[in-house]
Amino acid sequence: MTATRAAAPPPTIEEQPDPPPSRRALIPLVGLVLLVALLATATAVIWPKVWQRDREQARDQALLGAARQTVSDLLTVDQANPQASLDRLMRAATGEFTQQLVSESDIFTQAITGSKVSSTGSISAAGIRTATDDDAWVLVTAASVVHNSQAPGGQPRQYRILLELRHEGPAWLVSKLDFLP
Amino acid sequence: MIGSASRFAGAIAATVGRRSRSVIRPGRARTATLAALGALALAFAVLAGVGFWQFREAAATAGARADGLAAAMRLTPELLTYDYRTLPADAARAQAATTGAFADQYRSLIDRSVQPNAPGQQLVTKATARDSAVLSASRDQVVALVFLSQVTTSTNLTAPRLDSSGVRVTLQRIDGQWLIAGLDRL
Repeated sequence: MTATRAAAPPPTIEEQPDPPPSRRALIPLVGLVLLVALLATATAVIWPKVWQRDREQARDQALLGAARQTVSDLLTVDQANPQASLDRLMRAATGEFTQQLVSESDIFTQAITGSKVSSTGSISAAGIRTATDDDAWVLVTAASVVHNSQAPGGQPRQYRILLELRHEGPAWLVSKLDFLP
Repeated sequence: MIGSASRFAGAIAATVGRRSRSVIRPGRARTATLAALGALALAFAVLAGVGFWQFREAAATAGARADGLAAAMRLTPELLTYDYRTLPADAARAQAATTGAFADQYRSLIDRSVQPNAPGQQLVTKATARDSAVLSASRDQVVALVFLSQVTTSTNLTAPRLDSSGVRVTLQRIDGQWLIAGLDRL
């Protein structure tokens, strides 16, 4: 009895195109697809933030390099060629600092040639106060040994300098430079 | 009841039978698909995990920059501010802002150089942090550049003396608190 009844149904079920066990077998597949999608989204969200950090580190190095270079150029004066020192500063300057250099250029060159000043500057530390992708404030401590007609043996000096830099085109340019008392 | 149960058994038998007949292709394809998806999920899990860890480091460092700089502005003047009349209390307060080997160095500097001379000279000195910047930062350590001005009066001086200086301050986070672990004049 049982055997004959069991033998009968299979054909009817066999006709069904997609039997339930098959649909159940899709569950791990769908689950994995969802999991992959979720993890891929998480990856896509998190990595741009990490790259942003890397870009900021590169940016900080670039703007600190520009600040150090300008301070070093400003404190390193060659009495034989003051115009070359000034030209180099002008290329790394923008805005207010450019105007300052232009308005003081005559005094600058006359003072150097007149009193036979030469000096060598060195940066002791340069750090970032604040920085965005467009604008940064940097503090620098520097030292220089100044040789002039009054002090031929050299006179050491310490400086504390506040700079503002702006990101213009590919470069960071100095837009403000103040010697702090 | 018996009928429906046996019908169900028959259905399973039929399905199993059909599967083992055509099997080999869809079954293996499904296993391969599942394995590939599993591998993909694992790869993305590792990528997302590494990314998340790096992001947390970056966020912690950004927080350290801000907190370390604020601590540098607040704590650095404390180390350089004292009055001959309140020297033990000033030194104790300043030492509480230091950590590690620097705490001992600071203590011995006070004991050997300041303590013996300050009362006789009526030494009073007050430092103020003018500005600060980050030289380097990680999650638990910040090296800051601090610009200080310091006013000193003593019987050795005819008028108050004003000094300006730049110092390199190393700060470490110990149990969530930023403390000074080093100080160099520049």
